This record gives sequence, C-alpha cells and structure tokens, in this order.
Amino acid sequence: MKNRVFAFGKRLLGLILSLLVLSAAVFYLSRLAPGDPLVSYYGDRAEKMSAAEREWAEKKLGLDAPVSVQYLRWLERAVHGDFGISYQYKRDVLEVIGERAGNTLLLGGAGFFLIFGGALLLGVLCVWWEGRLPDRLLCRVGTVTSCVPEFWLSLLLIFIFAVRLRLLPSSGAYSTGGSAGAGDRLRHLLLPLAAVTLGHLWYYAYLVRNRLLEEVRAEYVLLAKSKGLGKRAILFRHCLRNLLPAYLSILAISAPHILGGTYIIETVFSYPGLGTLVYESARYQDYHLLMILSLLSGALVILCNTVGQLINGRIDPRIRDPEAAAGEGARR
Amino acid sequence: METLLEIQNLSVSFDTPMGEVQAVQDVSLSLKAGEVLALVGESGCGKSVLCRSVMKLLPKTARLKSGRILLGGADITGYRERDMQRLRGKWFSMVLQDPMSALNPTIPIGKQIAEAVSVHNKKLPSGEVRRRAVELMDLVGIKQPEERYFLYPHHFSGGMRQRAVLAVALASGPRILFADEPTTSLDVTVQAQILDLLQEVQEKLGMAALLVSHDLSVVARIADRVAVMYAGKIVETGTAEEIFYDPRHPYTWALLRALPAFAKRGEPLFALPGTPPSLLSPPPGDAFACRNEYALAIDYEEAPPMFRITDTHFAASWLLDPRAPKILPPAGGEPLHV
Amino acid sequence: MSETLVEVRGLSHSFRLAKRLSIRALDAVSFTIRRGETFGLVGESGSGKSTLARCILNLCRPQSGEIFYRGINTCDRVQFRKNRELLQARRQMVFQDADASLNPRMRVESILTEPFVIRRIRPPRGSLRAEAAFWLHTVGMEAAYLDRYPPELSGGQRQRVAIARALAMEPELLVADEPVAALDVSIQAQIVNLFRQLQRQQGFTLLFIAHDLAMVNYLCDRTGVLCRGRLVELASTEELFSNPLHPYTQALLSAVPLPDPRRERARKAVAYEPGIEEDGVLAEAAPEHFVWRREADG
Repeated sequence: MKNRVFAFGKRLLGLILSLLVLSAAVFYLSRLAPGDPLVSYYGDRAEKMSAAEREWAEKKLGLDAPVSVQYLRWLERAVHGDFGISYQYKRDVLEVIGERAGNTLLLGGAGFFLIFGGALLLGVLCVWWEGRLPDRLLCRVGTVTSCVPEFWLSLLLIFIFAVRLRLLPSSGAYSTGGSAGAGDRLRHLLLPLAAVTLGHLWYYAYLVRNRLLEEVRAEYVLLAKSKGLGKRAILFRHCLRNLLPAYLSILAISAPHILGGTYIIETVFSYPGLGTLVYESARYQDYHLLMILSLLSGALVILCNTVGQLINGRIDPRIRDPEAAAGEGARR
Repeated sequence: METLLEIQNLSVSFDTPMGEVQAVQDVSLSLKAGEVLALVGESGCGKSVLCRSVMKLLPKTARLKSGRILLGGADITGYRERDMQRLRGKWFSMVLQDPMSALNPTIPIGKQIAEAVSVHNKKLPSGEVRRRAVELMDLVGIKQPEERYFLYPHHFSGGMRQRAVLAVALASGPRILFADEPTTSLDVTVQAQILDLLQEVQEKLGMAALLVSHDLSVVARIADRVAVMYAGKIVETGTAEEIFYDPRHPYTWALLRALPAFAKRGEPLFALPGTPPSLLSPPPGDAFACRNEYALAIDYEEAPPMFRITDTHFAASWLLDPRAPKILPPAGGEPLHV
Repeated sequence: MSETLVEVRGLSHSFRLAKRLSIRALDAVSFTIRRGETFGLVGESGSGKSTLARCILNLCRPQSGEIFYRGINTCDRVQFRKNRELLQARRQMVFQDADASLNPRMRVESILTEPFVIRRIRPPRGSLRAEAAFWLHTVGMEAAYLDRYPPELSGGQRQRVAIARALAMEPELLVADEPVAALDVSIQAQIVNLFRQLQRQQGFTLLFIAHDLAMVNYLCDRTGVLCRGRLVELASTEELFSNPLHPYTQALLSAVPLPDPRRERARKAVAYEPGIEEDGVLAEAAPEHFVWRREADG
C-alpha cells in the first residue's frame, strides 16, 4: 500500500514537472512569435494608438516587464487558480474554454469511439476473409483514404455534401438563430466527424489486422484447432483476447493524436471547439488562452500515456506478476 | 486389431513462388487401435506434414495431390473444414514440440483444458466440465490440480506445460494422438517422464499414437512399430525390434550409426555426408542415392519399390533385390554403451 | 598431469528477479580445466551451466569467487584490462542457436572477418577474404558460401560458420554451449566429428556444455555434473558413466534414451528427489573422482 502511494506520488510529481517545463516553453515561444498582442485586445484601435497610449496599454496588460518576470507573475497567479483573461474575449480563460470544451469533447469522443470500434471491426473482418475479396478491397480502399491529408479530405467532404448535394451544413456546430435541437447538432456534427474518423480509421484497422494475423499464425492456434475448436471461437476467444491488452494501451496513447486531428478539422469546419480556439489564440497572440490550452493538451497527452502503461501492465498476466515469472526462471 | 487410420498413396505438395515442393510423396501407412507407431526422419522429410495433412491443419498453400485417408473405414479425404472440426479432438488430437507456444499465454491452464472438454460436449454443465478438466490434469500427473487450475502457462515448467498440452489433447478422448517431437525441447529426465506418461495414458485409454521424432533412440522406449521417412517417402517400416536389430535400408543404418551410443570412444562418429535433396525438384531414382555409400547404379535411375522382408517389415532399397550384392549391415543390434 | 588452463574457485552467482526474490544460479562451484582436454559439463536447464560458461568468458560478472585463466584472475578488473587482448581473442564461444547468434543481415565473409577488423589484426593469409575462405574450408564448407547470408544456410551449416568464426582467432579455449542440441541427429554427428578433428588440428581446449549425456560420454575426457547451481560430481568420463556416485548423476544416466527397444522397455528411470544436495562438500571418493556429499558421511 505504502509502495503504491509512493509510486502514485512519483507519477504526479513527474506530471507537474513536465507541465512546468511545457508552460515555460510555450510562454517563451509565444512571445517570440511575430505579432501584436494589443491588436487582439483593442482590435483595430491598437494600430491608431500613440506611443504613450501603447505604453500605458502594455503596462495595463503586464506586457512591459521582461519575459521571465512576466512568466513568474503568470505562474504565481496560475498556482492560485487564476489563469488570466482572454485578450480577445475579455473574459476569464476558463470560462471561454468551458463554453467550447463540450463541442470538442462531443466531436473527439464520438470520433474516438468510431475510430477504435470501427478499426477493430474492420481488422477482424479482414482477418476473417484473409486474402479473399473483402480483405483485399478493404486494404486498397483503406490505403487510399489514409493517404489523403485530413484538411483536404474535409474540403472534399464539404464540396460533395454541402456544396454539391446540399445535404449537410458546411460549418458551425448549430444553425444560427434556429433552435439548437439534437437533430440540428447531429447534422452539423456529421461532416467533421466523418473527416476525423476517415482520416485515422484505416491506420488502426491495419494495425489490428496485422497483429491479429500474427496471432492467428501462432502455435497455440494449431493446438486449439486440433482440439476441435471452430474458426470463430479461436478468433474471438483466443486471438482477439491476446490482442486486446496491446490494443487498449495503443488506444490510450493515441487519444491525444486523434485530438490533434480534431483541432485541424475544427478549424476547417469553423466548428466552435477548442481547436478553433487554439488556432485563434496562437494567431492573435491571445497569450493567456494559448497557455491554458497548451497546458490542458499537454496534461492530456501525459495522462493518456500513463493510462496506456498502466493498462498494459494490468492486463497481461506475464507482466502482472513478476514473482511468478521468477518462479519460471527458477525451474528453467 | 481394428485399423483406425489408413493412409493410401498420399501425396502432399506446397505451392511456393519457386515452384511445387513435394513434401509427401506416395506415402501409405496404417495405424491400428492401441499401437504406437513412430515416424522417424530428418527435419524437412515431411513427417510433420504427414501428421498435419491427416488432421487437415496445413496452411492454405498446401495441396493434397492424390491418395486417400481412411479414418475408421470412412474416407475423409474430401472432408471440409466443418466436417473436420467434428473429428478433431474426438477422433484425433495433437501434442506439439514447444509446449510454451502451444498454450495460449493469457488463458489459465485449467480453462484451456476445460475448453477442450466442452468443445464436443456443449451441453455439459460448467461444474462438470471443470471436474473433468481437473481429472485430466490429475491423469497427466499435474499435482494439486485444483490449486493449479487458474495458473497461467508461464507459471509452469517445460515438462508441466507439456503435460498440460497432453491433457488438452486427451480432453475429448481421441482415438489417435499425433505427438510431433513431444520431447525435443525438454531435458533428458523430463523427456523420460513424458515418454512414460504418453505410454501410460495410451495404454490406459487404448489410444493409438503416432510419435514423430528425429531421434531413433527416443522412440525405442515406447514404439511398437517404426516407419523411417526420407525426402517425403517412407523408406523402411517394421516393428521396433526389426528396425533396431535388423535394419535393412541404408538410411536407417545411417540414422542408427550416427548415434553416439553405437560409436567407440576415440573413433569418429558416423556422419551421413551431404544434405537431404531439395523437394522442389527431386532427383530421378532413389532420393537417397547420392548420400548412400552402398548405392547401386540402378539407384540413380529408378526408385526402388517396397521389398517385403517379413509380413511386418518392408524397405525400399535395391539392395534387397535378389540380384543385388550381399552387404553385411553396418548397423543394428545392441548399443556398445550407455 | 598436464598444465591447468582454467581454474574456477568458489564461484557463486545469483540473479535478482524481483524485489525480494533472487535465484541462485551458481553456488560455490570449483573445478579446473586442463590444457588440451575436452571438459564436459552436463546439467538440466536451469542448472547454471550457461551462467558458468558466461562467467568463464567474462560475459557475466560473478558475485563471488574467482576464475583464473593461465594464472590471470579474470574477475579482477585491473588484471583483466592488462591482459585484455589475450583474454578476448584466445577464448571464444559457440552458442547453441547459431540462428540467433549470427547476424542475419551480415554476409558469411563479414561474420568471419569481423574479429580481424575490430582488433585491427592483419590477416595472416593475406586478404580478409582469403582468411575467411580458409576458415570456411577448415570447417568443411566451400568458399562459395562466403557471399551468402545466414538465413540461406541450413542449421548445420550455420553452426559450422559459428565454429569457423570462433576458430579464426585461433583460440586456446573454446566454450561450446549446447552446440548440437538444436540439430538433427545426423547433423549432430557431423558437428561433433568436426569438433574432434579441429581439436586435434588446432590443439585448443574445449569446454563442452550439453544435456545430451550420450554425446558427452562419447566426446569428453572429464565431465562435471551441475545440479541446481552446484557441482555434484566430477570425474573422468569413463569413471563417471561406469560408476556414478551421486544420486542425481544416476538419475540423469537412467534417463538417457537407448536405441535398444528391449532394454529400454525393461528399464526404469531412477527418480531424483531434489534437496539431498543441500549441505556438504565436494569430496574425493576415488582417485580423481569427486562427489558432493554430506560432511558427516566423510
């Protein structure tokens, strides 16, 4: 028990340290980028300001101090839970994020389940019909779709479904002015979701297919067959089971990767989520907003990796109990 | 005795990018209830392919070219996967060389055995399945089966794993057991235990067994009959006594003479020169001719037929032709030392 | 008696597997190997025989005990560094699985000449290729194989290449760890003959590690039996096989399969109960015949 608390503490400390390094890096880098933060706060007025006005404005926003001092000030307030205000929205950054996070979670979460559920399904289908038509067809189609860049795929989808067929809206999360009902949300969600899913699906399906083919060729499958087990039982009860631990940990580790994909797609579809926010904040020097978004994304990456490792260690019996593996060593 | 398995003129080929590999060529053999037949030969001679072609467990590139497989009198040559599934486990099952990779590493031993019990007995209540699995573990000499039921393969030593594999193989009470090099990856003392165990359960359950090995001395302990295989063909078959004490084929002589038990200390071991021929394009005549110090001219032109020596002993060598020169067999008889 | 080449004194080693769990691989093993002899080491898997081989070749650092090679304490870092050239080049090893010990992406020629390149030794036979061809010929293979890759060779051929690689440095001590265990019986005979013939030609000392007692009996001059990290018996091979004293040796011998059906069927394997070897010493029971027994038995 004591060990576990200790291990947990170690991980937590690691997380905090990584975030600290990340925040410092992002803070300095964002200052290096060309652009005028005053524009994002004052809009067009900033360009007409006199030197004295500018000085006053910079002092007000705390931009006059050296970068390291600015960072320390930011850090001090961040520790107390105050992450500053967004220059553009002139509101607390957490509030701004809170409004948009739901949209991203919806898109990312749905995409995540579709990608990993679909990949598992497609991978199993390919293995079931290995080398036959469905497998070959899926492999061809999958390779093509996974080669297409996400943003281009998004534009293609917009062109076909929104411009040509006029079936689905091309941007936004809900119709302006109209009632934001569930159906409306769904219609707006479909295209970005399709873009997110299609972009990643085949990569993971191919991974499942190859791992599963390796399992199917293992010796234990021969023994399972020789005891009279059918193809379905072998595939699902033996092979898939052995694949799942690895798959779950991959799933956890790739969550941030997929989130990164949604960021790009959100921008293409002008979908009001965190992705658009990240893009805007970086573009308009909205420093405080950029900091908190980077930290959140960074924390997510680290958290997902940790979860991935934990899953791996927990599920595989060979990793789970080293003492038993030791016993084997004694006998071997 | 009832004949359980009869293989008639079986030929199996593999289609590879280089061409057709004739892994098994015109092999006939039969297996009676309750007997142990050993299939001996170098690696790549087709002995494993022969076993697996009976169970139809070969990869898709394999093709059954000709011949028939009769199981209990019924022709199963043309059986499809669905029909074979009903036979596997119940009629025949298999023990493999490496028990570690033969067991699924993520499923407890007991459950893997239980799964084999319920394959052909789907309606059996789970308590009963479990009881039978424990019984099987007991039968193959896994001590404290109840406690070990939920242990994983990596908790077991090599010998124990092979016992577990045997329990899986025995679960549905097969009439024939194919044991493919079951002791090759094990230590000598464990090898002796597993061989004794194989013989014990084989006698207890009245099973027939086909024991595959590259080492003649391993099969001496439990084989009733021995078939020696070379380059896809059976070159000599006979009772264990006939093969060990009165071998007739030069290849059998070579296999016996290569054993250190027959060599005098200080003298070189007999080593068979060269390597087995390619099965892609087998040479004309006797495939063994170019490695055979007793080869006759005809060996290079025409493959020898099976000559009958006794009702149980056959060998495919032109040396047995009445016109051939008489040769004193250089092997056979009692070994010089342990 | 002839000169001592290797002396192992009180060698112990254990592997830590988990926090509070370690496995004793070797326990106070002492013996000597004489120059020019073939010393057999038998034991089951897990008996520590491979660990012992590795310790002798400095591939693994023992926790306690000393190993002297021509009087040099090889476990001593200073002495090892001073004699590094001698110790590394003159002691070579052949592994059980040539499949795994030869780099599959290196040509046979590169495998054979790598030691020369690494040590910057001028090959005595002119070019590197001539040197490689010479050693390949020594192990009975044609020069045509120089440009092949290990996966293109058969198991026996790979093992020959591994032996040629070890011999190219003209070693004084060759350690062969189960060199024939993975091979077919007919190929085993070829490789064992090769070892004998090469030893006669080159005069190296051979430490032959095996679990196949029939092969050890045929090949080795003296044999030691390892049981759970402990040397339980040591004698000339003839003496050991005709008069085994330790119950573990007796059990091992009784399990060797004989190519003789009538005797095999009648024979009963002797079971060995582990634990007898706990306390004791390696005592001389007969001239040159040492066996592990309790001190009280004298």
